[in-house]
Amino acid sequence: MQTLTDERFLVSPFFVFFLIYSNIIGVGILSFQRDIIKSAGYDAWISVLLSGISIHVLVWMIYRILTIANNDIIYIHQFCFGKWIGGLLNVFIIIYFFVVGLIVFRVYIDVVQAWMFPLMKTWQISVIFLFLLYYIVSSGFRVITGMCFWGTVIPFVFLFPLVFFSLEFAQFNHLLPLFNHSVNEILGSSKKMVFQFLGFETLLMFYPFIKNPEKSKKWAHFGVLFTIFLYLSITIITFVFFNEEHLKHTIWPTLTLLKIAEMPFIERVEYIVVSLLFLVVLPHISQHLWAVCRGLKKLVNIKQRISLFICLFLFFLFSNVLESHKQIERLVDLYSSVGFYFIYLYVPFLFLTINIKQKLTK
Amino acid sequence: MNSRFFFAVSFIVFLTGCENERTIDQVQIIESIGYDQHEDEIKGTAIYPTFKEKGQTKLNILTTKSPSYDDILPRLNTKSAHSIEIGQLRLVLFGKKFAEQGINPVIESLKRDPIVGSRMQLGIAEHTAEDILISGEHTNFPFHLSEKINQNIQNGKLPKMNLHLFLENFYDKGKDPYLPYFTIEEGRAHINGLALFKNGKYINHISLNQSFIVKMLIDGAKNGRYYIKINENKKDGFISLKNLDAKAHYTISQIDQVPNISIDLTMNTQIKDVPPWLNVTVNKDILKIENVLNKHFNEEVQQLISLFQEYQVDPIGFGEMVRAKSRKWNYSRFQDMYPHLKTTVNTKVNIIQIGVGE
Amino acid sequence: MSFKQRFFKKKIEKQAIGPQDINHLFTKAKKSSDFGQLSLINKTGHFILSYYNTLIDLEQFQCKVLYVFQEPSFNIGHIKNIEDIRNTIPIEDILITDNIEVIESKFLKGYAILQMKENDYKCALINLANVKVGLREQNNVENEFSVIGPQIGFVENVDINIHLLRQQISTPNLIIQDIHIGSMSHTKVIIAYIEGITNEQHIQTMTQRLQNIDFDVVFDSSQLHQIITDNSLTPFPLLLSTERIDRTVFALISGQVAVFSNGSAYAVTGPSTLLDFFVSPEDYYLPWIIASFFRLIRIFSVLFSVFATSIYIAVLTYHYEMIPRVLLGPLIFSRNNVPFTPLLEVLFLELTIELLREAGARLPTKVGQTLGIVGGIVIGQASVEAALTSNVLLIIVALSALASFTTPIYKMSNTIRFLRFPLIILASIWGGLGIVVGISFLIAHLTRLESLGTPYTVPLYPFRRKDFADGIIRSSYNATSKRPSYLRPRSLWRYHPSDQIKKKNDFDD
Repeated sequence: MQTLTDERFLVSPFFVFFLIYSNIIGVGILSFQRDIIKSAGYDAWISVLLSGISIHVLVWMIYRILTIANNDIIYIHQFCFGKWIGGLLNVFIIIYFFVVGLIVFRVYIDVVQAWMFPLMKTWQISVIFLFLLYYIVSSGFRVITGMCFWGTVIPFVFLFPLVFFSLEFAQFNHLLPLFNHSVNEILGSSKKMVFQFLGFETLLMFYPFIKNPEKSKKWAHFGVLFTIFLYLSITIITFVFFNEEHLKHTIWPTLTLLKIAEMPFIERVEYIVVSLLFLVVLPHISQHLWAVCRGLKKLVNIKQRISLFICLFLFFLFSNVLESHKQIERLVDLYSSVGFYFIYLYVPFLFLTINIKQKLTK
Repeated sequence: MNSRFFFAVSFIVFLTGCENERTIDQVQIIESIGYDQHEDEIKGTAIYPTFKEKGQTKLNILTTKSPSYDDILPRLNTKSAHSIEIGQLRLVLFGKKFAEQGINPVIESLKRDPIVGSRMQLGIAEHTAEDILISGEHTNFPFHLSEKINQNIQNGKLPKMNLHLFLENFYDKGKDPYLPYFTIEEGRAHINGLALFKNGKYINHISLNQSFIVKMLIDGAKNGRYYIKINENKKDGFISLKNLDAKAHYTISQIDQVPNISIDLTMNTQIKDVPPWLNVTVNKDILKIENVLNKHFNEEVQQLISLFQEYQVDPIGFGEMVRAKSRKWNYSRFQDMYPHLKTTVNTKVNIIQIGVGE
Repeated sequence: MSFKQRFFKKKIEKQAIGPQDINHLFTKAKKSSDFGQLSLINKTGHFILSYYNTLIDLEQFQCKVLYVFQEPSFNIGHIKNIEDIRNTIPIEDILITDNIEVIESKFLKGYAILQMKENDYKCALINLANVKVGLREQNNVENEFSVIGPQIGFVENVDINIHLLRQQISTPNLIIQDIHIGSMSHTKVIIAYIEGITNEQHIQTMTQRLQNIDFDVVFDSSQLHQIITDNSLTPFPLLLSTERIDRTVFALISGQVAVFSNGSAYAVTGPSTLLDFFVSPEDYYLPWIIASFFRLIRIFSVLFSVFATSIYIAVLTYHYEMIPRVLLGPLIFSRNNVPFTPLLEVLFLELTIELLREAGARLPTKVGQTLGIVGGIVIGQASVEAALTSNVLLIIVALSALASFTTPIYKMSNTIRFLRFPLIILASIWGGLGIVVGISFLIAHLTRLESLGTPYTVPLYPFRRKDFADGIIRSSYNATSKRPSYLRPRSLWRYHPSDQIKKKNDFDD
């Protein structure tokens, strides 16, 4: 197989695990429990499993698409739909990735403002964030993968054990009675849960940067499995810690969960959590930004550095425009429905199209 | 041009963090707050420690009055040289009169503020919170009231409680919250039982021994102490137990009509003192002691549950247990049924050790 | 402009202006008072010897050269042309040439020029260089001390260094290549590698970079290190310099390339990774469990040294809620009368310690020790008494200063001392978030670094599970039998591990 990019810029297939993981886990893990209990109540952990399994199917489909095309999604669009429609779809994809990065960026700043520094203005936090993003994204894909690796290992090692402190107050009675909701309700929660798994679509963009891409399939599935495990354990621990009514009144359940951890030399660990979340969110946003810059380069051939500058400036602008919680929520709702249709309708559609196109061109 | 622009921006950025500074010795760290109802106004009392000399702390008091609860903290600020910070707040006390009117607004505001910890303690004072807080002032031991509660939870007769558990019980329809009940005895604050709540309003309180039984029923005791008075063959005496390990197991049947709850209480304990007319080395006597204890606890638990049914509060959480077993749970139906709930108690006491002397 | 760019750019502009011929050279040399010329007159002509008498070994000159010519049995007729000199003079390094550049460079290295007749262009260059005078005789390693293990290190003479190296690596596969760097110093620089193990790419990169250097006087191999480094904007050293022989030998047999420079006792080896800087030779002389434990302590102490003061500032300024109840009293009390913010307190103490360290390095030995101890203790105690700093902070700063010196390589401990300051400033601006921002910058920076083309954070970031046997912990000799794969060596096996024979006792029957 010929490599479309220079050998020096490729990463080995093992890192797809970290890439997928950091693209899925973002700020959503702090507050997703509230959304999923709206429909299925405390049976929502089943919804987590169901959404996870559907994501596995989608990843498999995406891999089939990419193996046939052996290139990224910009090329696929142009191959399947021709130059003009493909170009239009490419523009949509680039805007989609941009909006995802923007949302994660703004929501994280929101968390910092709510929990740590209430007096800090949005633009102050964004400026330092933007410096870092420029430094990382302009260093190339290998450095972004490195950040994904560290952004997975360090927070997981430090933060995940903290969750187990809350088991001191666990009441497993909350989960009973099991299966008390109808299948419709559980599926409704699954729909909400899928939003948390969104983000792995950047796989469509960074596929050419993987060495031996066939070997990376199993790592991508491991990555999805690991995120399912993480979401499931946090869900179950939240459910045994809070009862349903209490959970409905808590905006950030995971952080409130971590507030109770107490160690001999340190007490309120949620400050560490919010800070280390920065390491989790940073590779997520830089991946998406990188995808936008690369897409723009392949589409209209702008130099990636210039498009990076433009994107960062737009980030700064938009994050200041979205000041209130309500506006952010509206954007998030819009994104979640667009994302849902993107992966559940558009990806299978693309799958069929590329199979047909391939048979036609043979 | 580029580098100069970045330099200028970074300079501005560096000045940004200064607003949020709360340096540790430039803020007044409040350790306990008390709210009382005083005629039509709310009186707030705050205690903060100062560390002037090495190894010596001094506790100081700030009080203020205000018609509304939200205004108390800002008013306290006007009386202090440093800004008031509640990050290390460990205890909030409510006077009985204040609690009878409902402590909902305070709870709501505590819940919404990320700066207070979830392990904070709450309490009810028999007369006014101010008395309790002031009584501890001369001890000059910071956080001593909240430590009192913590210590009694671990080694004494109080069930586990903190802000998180209070909120859990507050929101859960199948359980009602409870808080420690403070009185003053010989000039010192004294935990004298549990205060029972319903919908955020204070209902009544139970004694310390009864709260130990609540502890056994809810959390299970680990190293409790207990004494009972017995009257056998017209002889009086006290049996005192230590290292009491208790666990309660609930079986619920007949969910659809009036539920039937059977409580199996298992206890492993050691004997500390027995009346002289009982001999702990003789097996027969040990069996007699065990029987006496079984009967005693059965009666006590039943009495307690009847008391709760009379007050219409459910701190043990029978509602929650029934909900976990039933497919269709309706809170108001349970509330109507609650006074008619049938409970049977079976206690099994095992005496493990009798000490080293004879 | 960076250090590196400046040296590589000027190469095209400068043109060397050397002497046109040998008389020109002699005219210039005659201006120095240490230039000597001797002529031995005989029947057919003169033998003219020209030399710098400060460079040559006068004893050798007199015994080997003058003695031969002045011996009564010497027949001047045997020497018909200059090539016969080789058979006459009992010195092995005689060069016959008329290339003026070679003549000039050898002349300046202590060779004597022998001309048959005056104004002859072709001459013989006889090696009479005195290399031992003025240089250090003993070669104890002072800066990289280890309790167990050999204490010998390199000296400032590159030939002696190669001699020491060849004593340990006794194979003809050890290839030594020499080049001369420095327009005014013509320093002999040696590139050493083991053929069959080292990847040719590394050798090529190193050689090419060294050959592209344009510099005037090479004082030390560390200068070479800085000029050829991949990225000059980083505080991290990208190549490892060491004084110890065993460390260099270990680097060579793992597949690295070593560079020696005449006049410098430090060898530069590359490509190196971040974990190489936490490896001490003592680790290999102690049992592997103890060695791994101490390696972990080293890494932990480095982390502590970098983050301790910033965490102190962040918690005390922004996150007082994180302090446990029992520590609240002592901390507030210790800060009670201090007029400064925690940031200024920390900066004051850190700068005092840096001051003490710098001053201690320059004081004469006898005064240095006393002043260091007195300064440290007295200043520390007095500043706490005067309530300029808090005593808790004094302990933290002193411990982190000590902890920064636990790295075996001096260059890395400098980096660690430096890294503390940006983190302190970031922590004072944004508290805990500032520290994490600093960590992200650090990680992004480290991931970008490359040493001679190999990534700097391997085996951690391009995660190679097999190379962890000698990374954070040092496994037993059975597990470290392969070479690290990130150096891409030509041969992977160092030795074959012995089979473990399990001892049987009666329980196994």
